[in-house]
Amino acid sequence: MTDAVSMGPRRALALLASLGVLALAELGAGSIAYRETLDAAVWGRVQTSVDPALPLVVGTGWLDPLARRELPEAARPRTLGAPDLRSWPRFAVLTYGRQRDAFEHLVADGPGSPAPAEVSSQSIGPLRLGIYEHAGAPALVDDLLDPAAHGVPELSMPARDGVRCRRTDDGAVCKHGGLELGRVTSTLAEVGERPRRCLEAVMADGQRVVLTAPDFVFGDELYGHVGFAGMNARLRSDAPVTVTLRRGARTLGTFTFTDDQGWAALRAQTDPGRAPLIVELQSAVRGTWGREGYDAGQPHPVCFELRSFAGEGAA
Amino acid sequence: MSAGRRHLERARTDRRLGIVGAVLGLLTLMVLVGTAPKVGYVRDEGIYFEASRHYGTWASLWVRAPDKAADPKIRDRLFRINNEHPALMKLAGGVSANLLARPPAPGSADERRATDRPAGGRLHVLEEGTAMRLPAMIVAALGVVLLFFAGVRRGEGLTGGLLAGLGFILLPRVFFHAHLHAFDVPVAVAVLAVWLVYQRSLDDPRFALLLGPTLGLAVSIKHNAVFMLPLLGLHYLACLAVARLVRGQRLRVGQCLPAPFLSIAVLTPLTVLAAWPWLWRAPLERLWGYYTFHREHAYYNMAFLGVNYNEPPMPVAYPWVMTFATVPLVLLALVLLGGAWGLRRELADVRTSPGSPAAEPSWLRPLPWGYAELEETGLVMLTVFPLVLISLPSIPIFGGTKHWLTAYPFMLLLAAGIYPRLFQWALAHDRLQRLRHGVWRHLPVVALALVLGPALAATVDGHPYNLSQYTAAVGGPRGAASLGLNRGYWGHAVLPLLEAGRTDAAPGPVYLHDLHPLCMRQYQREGRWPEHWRSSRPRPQGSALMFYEQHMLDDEVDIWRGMETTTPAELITLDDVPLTARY
Repeated sequence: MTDAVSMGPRRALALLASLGVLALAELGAGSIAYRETLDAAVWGRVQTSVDPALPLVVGTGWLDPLARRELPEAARPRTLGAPDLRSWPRFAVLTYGRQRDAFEHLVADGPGSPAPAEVSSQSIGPLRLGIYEHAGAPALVDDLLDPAAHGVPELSMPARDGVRCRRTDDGAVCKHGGLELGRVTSTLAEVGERPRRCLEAVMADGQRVVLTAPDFVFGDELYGHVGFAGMNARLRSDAPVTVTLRRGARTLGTFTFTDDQGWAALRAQTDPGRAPLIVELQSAVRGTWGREGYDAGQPHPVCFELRSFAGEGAA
Repeated sequence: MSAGRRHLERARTDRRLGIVGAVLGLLTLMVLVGTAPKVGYVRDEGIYFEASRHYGTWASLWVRAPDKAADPKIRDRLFRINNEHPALMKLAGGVSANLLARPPAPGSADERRATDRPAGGRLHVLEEGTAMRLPAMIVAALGVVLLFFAGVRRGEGLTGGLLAGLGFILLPRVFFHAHLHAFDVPVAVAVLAVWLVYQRSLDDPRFALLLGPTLGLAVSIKHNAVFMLPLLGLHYLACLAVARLVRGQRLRVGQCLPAPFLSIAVLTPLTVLAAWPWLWRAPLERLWGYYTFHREHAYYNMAFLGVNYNEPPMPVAYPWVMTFATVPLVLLALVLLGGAWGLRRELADVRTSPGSPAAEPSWLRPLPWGYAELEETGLVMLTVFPLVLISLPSIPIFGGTKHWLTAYPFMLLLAAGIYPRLFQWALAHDRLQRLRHGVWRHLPVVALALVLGPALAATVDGHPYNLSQYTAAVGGPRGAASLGLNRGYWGHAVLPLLEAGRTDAAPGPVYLHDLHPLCMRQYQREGRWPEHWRSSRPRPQGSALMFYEQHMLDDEVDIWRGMETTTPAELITLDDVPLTARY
């Protein structure tokens, strides 16, 4: 084949020059991209800048394991598994530059909550440590997951005869004979590709469990989340869970969630005061569907948390 | 210059190019073998190592007890393992280990059991894993040589050859996969060989005879090569269509039964059968099993732009964006330029009658000189096809960029076609004429340093974790992590953690997470695995490995729960981005 289509010298020269500029730009960008930027000195400066009294959120997803290795504040289960940002009037956010994907997830996890505002920030090497405040946010009154206040709530299965429920080291379990029908554990779980500190309930097919916190302090609203843990290996589950909230004998609301909703928020208006909080959970089936069809053997843990809030911004 | 002098000059140049090509191949092999011990064993290699030990046993039976090797029961027992992939590379790995592997490490379970070839190979020169990887590394080096010569032809000189050969092996993902006892780089090289043989086969019966076995060997490496048959058919039909419809050339009956395709029809299946002893007993039934395995290959996880996909369809943009994110921009720009210019040139060429063909077409020489070759169209088709295939919504999620590595040799050939010509055209400028002579005439070769620099920088930076490497255009590994692109998926980034384990800094037992138990066995055989690291669930008094992938967070949470800590003890990072943790 002949070079029937050739190019003028000027055009060829322009293209070569463009390629040269592109290569130089790539090499320049590579000299920034291809190096470690987080050394011990950077982490040391972060450590001295972090206020241990403030919750520390790692706002850049990929930075999280590094931050946990270097900063005890980043490895605390309470902040690591935070349901959203609503509980904290003031907190710190550590990001790599302005990459805030994990922080934005947490903001989105609290729909209806006031947006936190950055009140100060400092750059430490490539890292950025910001202090955020929730101006005029509702105040946290009580937290079902507060071990000092509630431990793990009492577990019962009122619709079944012959069921015995008892406490375990980290939760409670109900059995009928040797058969486990329901188990609740206070733990960290993965929901929607984020760690969540929650009460994890696993129920046999069609079973209903009831959790009671006899001494819960209500505010103006109950705010919480429900999600299904460990969904990653599955194609889908489909089986919903129904959550009913009661204050004593009065029903505050009934909610139905599926795995598709991820970490779904729920809220209910309440009157302030101390009263029993009763949470009923009922799942249809606990199994899952995969390429071989329905597999009843897979656990289907429901992960939930509830807090009460009072003041401006609460429902 | 006389004809004799010109011939001599040409012979000298050819010899010089031959030496450069051979040196390139040798250097590639040396670099790959030298850098391989730092590349941890990927999940798939674990099973391929095990398969190679079985297949190698069969190969050694041919020497020691041929009657046993010919026994169908023994053969089936040895080839049953990993029969969802053809045997060729694993058999080659087994033979390589029979020759070169060191024996299992003293004290390892395999050494104590004194089973499957405890004495290692005949020459104890390489770790068993490296010995098994060697055939794939040799094929990769051959690929560089093939690309060099094909690039020399397309670029009409050394520059095109260097760009094609070095451009291929310096791509971070290619460099990574070229180390592995796996099929992805070998099949990319084999597919390139099929194309080069096919081109010659249209006008040379000797190459027509060679085409069937070449395609057979390619298919015996990996199934991707099967697609070459329809693609070559399409290309051949396009050539005939251009001859008849554009140039008005008469078609002959012999062109309907061309020797290259007859060779494929007869010799390809025979070669596949010969190279895969598992098929010998029940060829059709076992081929069907092979087909259905790959057709239902649907539930891998792959992260793309922050979303994890575990069932098809992947977004259509996936292979295109990943190619953009893993192949340096300057090379991609050259590929696009080369493709566009090549197609334009070919369009102009087919409209121009080349005069009478050199010979009458026949079944033996179906497209002699004077018929359209459509080389550029072929290269563009072979570049685009693997990416289009992965883009199809009905295609199972196979995984990462390795599944379209078959496109990369052809991409580099497109680049090699345009790059030297840009210099030729530019230097035709009145003011630049002097750059065509003296030391300046080497400018295109010297400027290759600039063109290949971004790939080299990325590969050097990423080694031995180039499966997680990304180009500067997306911000390297940090930028890709922020964009939510896949960080790794093969449980291989672990070697520094094993070193800590061997010094007792890391207590056992250990939770392996994504590290394949057969990879652990391979490390044990080579004395690289900490003795006290037995596999277990996460527990407070042990260690746990965690390989970061978007869908793996639930495993990390399991580690936190099992080990009662959320603080990793050690991390392997690539440019700050965590790849693997040890708790």
